[in-house]
Amino acid sequence: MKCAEIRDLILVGYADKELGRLSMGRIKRHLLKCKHCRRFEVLMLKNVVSPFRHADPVTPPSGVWHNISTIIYEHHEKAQRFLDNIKDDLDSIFSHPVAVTVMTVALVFILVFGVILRPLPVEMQLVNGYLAEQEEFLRIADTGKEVYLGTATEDFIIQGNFFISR
Amino acid sequence: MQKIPKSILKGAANGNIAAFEHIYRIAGGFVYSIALHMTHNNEDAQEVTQDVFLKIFKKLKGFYFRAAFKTWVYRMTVNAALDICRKHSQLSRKAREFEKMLKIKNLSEEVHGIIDKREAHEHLEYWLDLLNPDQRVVIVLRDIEGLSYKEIARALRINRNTVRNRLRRARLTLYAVGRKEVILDEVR
Ligand SMILES: [Zn+2]
Repeated sequence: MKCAEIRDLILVGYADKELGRLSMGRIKRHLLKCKHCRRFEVLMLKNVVSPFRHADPVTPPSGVWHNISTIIYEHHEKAQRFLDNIKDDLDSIFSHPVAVTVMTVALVFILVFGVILRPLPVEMQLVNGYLAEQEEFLRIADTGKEVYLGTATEDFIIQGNFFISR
Repeated sequence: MQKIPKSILKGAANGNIAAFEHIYRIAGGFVYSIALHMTHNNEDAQEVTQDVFLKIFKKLKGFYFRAAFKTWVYRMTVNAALDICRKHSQLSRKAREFEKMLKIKNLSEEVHGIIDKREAHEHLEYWLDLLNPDQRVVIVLRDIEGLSYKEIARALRINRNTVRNRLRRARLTLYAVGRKEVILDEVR
């Protein structure tokens, strides 16, 4: 291996012990016989790697945990207060007999008109009308009489020359 | 970072504040350390630490079976710190340019000995400041926090080759500047 390749591996890999056994051995053997690469290794470790690896550990100031826990407690209390308020409101509503009666009646109205007697949407009404029309046409066609009721199906057949007049 | 027992994680996920404090005592140091070395500013580092831990408390329930806790926390910390770096980059670039100008001026006025160079050497900030945030973060994670290439790759969501490339560029910069300083020392 050339010196440039060796130095590149020293820079990344060798210095972090992230190389295979084979490459590690090759570099070590090269370093034994090449003083230029040896100098590079020494300077690299001393100036580039060591200062960071021996950095003094830092700890966050005590105020940081105080802030974090305060915020968590405040959020918790706020959420609790919100739930308590809802509970109080419901309690006060249900303690009034008039309010309970009004709400029960309203609930029954919603059930009856909103769910059971729900009006059909326009599209459903159209489909139902069409089906009824078809039913009527087929019923009469079954009797063999030649009639024209003016249905959409009859119009379709007439326009397409499917209708053979007798 | 010391491994955090699953029971503690579960307790904190269920809103137990004592369990959460336990997590903070174990992980708070490296969150603050990464943030401080990335931003070089005590207040920013405290803000990052606070934000990261509030996020952990909020999301612990959803996280906890999904990925390694450590990787998750590293990732959140780095992202929060990089956000602050980006926010301040405009400002700090100007400040750095000003500082550089002063340094050049001072170097030519050696006699006054205004800069204590050894002190500058000992200040990691001086060295980290020579790197862009992407390079700085790999140096912080590798050499200060001792993460493996694989752990760095996971924390930053990049592949291992990109980790190697950033590390290479960062170390080459530091090496070149270090050599220059040595030569300057010898000349003086
Ligand atoms: Zn060599």
